[in-house]
Amino acid sequence: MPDLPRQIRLAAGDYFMHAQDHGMRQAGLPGNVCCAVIHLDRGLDLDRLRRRIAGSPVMDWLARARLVRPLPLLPLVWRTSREREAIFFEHPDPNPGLETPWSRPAVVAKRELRAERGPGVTFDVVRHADGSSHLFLSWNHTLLDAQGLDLLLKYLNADGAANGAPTIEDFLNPEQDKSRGLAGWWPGAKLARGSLKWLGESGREPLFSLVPPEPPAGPRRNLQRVLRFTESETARIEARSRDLAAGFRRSHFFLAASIRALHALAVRRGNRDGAYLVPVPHDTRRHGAKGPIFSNHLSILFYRVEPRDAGRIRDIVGALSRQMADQIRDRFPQSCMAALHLCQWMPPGYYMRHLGKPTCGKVASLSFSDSGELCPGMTEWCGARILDVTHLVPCWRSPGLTILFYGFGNRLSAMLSWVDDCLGLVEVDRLERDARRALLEEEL
Amino acid sequence: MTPELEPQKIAAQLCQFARANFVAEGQVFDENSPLSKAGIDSFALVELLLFCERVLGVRVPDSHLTGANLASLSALARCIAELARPGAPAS
Repeated sequence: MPDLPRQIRLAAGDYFMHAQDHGMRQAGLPGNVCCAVIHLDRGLDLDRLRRRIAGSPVMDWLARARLVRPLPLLPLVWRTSREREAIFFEHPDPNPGLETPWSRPAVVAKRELRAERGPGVTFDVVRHADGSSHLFLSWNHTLLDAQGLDLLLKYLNADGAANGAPTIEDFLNPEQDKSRGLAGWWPGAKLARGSLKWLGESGREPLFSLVPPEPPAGPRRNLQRVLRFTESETARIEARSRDLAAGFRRSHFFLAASIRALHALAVRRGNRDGAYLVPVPHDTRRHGAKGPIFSNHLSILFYRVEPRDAGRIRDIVGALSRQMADQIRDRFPQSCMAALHLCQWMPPGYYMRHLGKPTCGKVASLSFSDSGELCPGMTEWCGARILDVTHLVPCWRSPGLTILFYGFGNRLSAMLSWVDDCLGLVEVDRLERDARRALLEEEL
Repeated sequence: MTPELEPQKIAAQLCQFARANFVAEGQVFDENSPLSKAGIDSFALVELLLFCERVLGVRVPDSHLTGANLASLSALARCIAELARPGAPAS
């Protein structure tokens, strides 16, 4: 594989993720750091994994990449440092003898993966007494998205140059690194106007937000809970999704169930007319592509669901389908990305304030994502059978609540991630119950 | 715009659009590939339907987005050809 470039421009999605990282740390939250927890049976070949990480140009690049601003008011870039930080760690079992399915070691949970200092990616392996292992793959979201992680895992799993060594195009989207120059500024600004106008109009109408109006008092905590569905429950959910959304709008069904559960919570809080504003990212890679591994390749759709439509799944799915068609027709996703691109010269704090302006700082009522199948087509990794995969994502403030759906094997999971001053535990219990009910039970 | 009426020609146009926009090079994909396994998600489906509106001049109503019509591009093309016939309710 030819040498990877020493300096790479950020994609528009990367800068958004970095600004979120900055905003989260300012609110006292851990940064915009995700973690994939992979439970492996006893066959994990640690030497092979160590060799792959140490000998991989892609891992070398990721270990050295640092976010730098070459000059004030110039956009940030990735530049590789001479220093390569350690990115592979082994830990003793933190809970020997306990029956808990897994526990993230404190050192992993507390490790700061800052894009400016690096490293942005780490591998932590915990070997258990029974020979099984957990791999905790943590990454700063500025570097990779969930699909990039899947591709990175596939790449590391492929032994030998002939079997899966990526080209530069697999690692990086060449379009991302093309200079746009000043000539591209005005068409970009014109394109960005559509989404900013829509958000501005949306922000003038009442919006529901879980975030308390006062600034956070002291550091906040980001809490997470995974809702797991059995194979038969997953089959029931799939069948309901097919009935309601003709199969291809599975994400709409999941989002509708999430909005209905949020609506029940909002009604208990006394919300009458605050609509639910939800940005939904969409992966822009082509199906079956081997890359790009690096960067956040996304486009965004914004949905706005009025409380009068939020009580029935069928009504919500209908509203989402209409809005999706309208927004794609109006080139809203391209407009959104143009807006994110134009703002790249701003310092992260100002960037977030600027993006939050149209909605008076509320930004969204809920952060939602459907990652689809995790590790698709992979049954083993570095010699060990994959038993389970969990995807932990951070929650931003605002909106204070993130719901992520993902599947592994024939089982669906949903991860709730929230900020402790935005939702209480009793509310989370109810949200979980309502979300399960919305997904599994027929509505009248 | 005179809508295309031959399902095979419609399927070929849809396939070309899908290859250019959703399916990676080297992936096996043709008119008869199951759409659910070819990376056609909700976003791609809407793009495909808007392409039908724009280029073929046919709007596919939600009531026609059934599992059978979305089984493959051939099936979708047959549905579009049916809708494109003069006097069809949603064309």
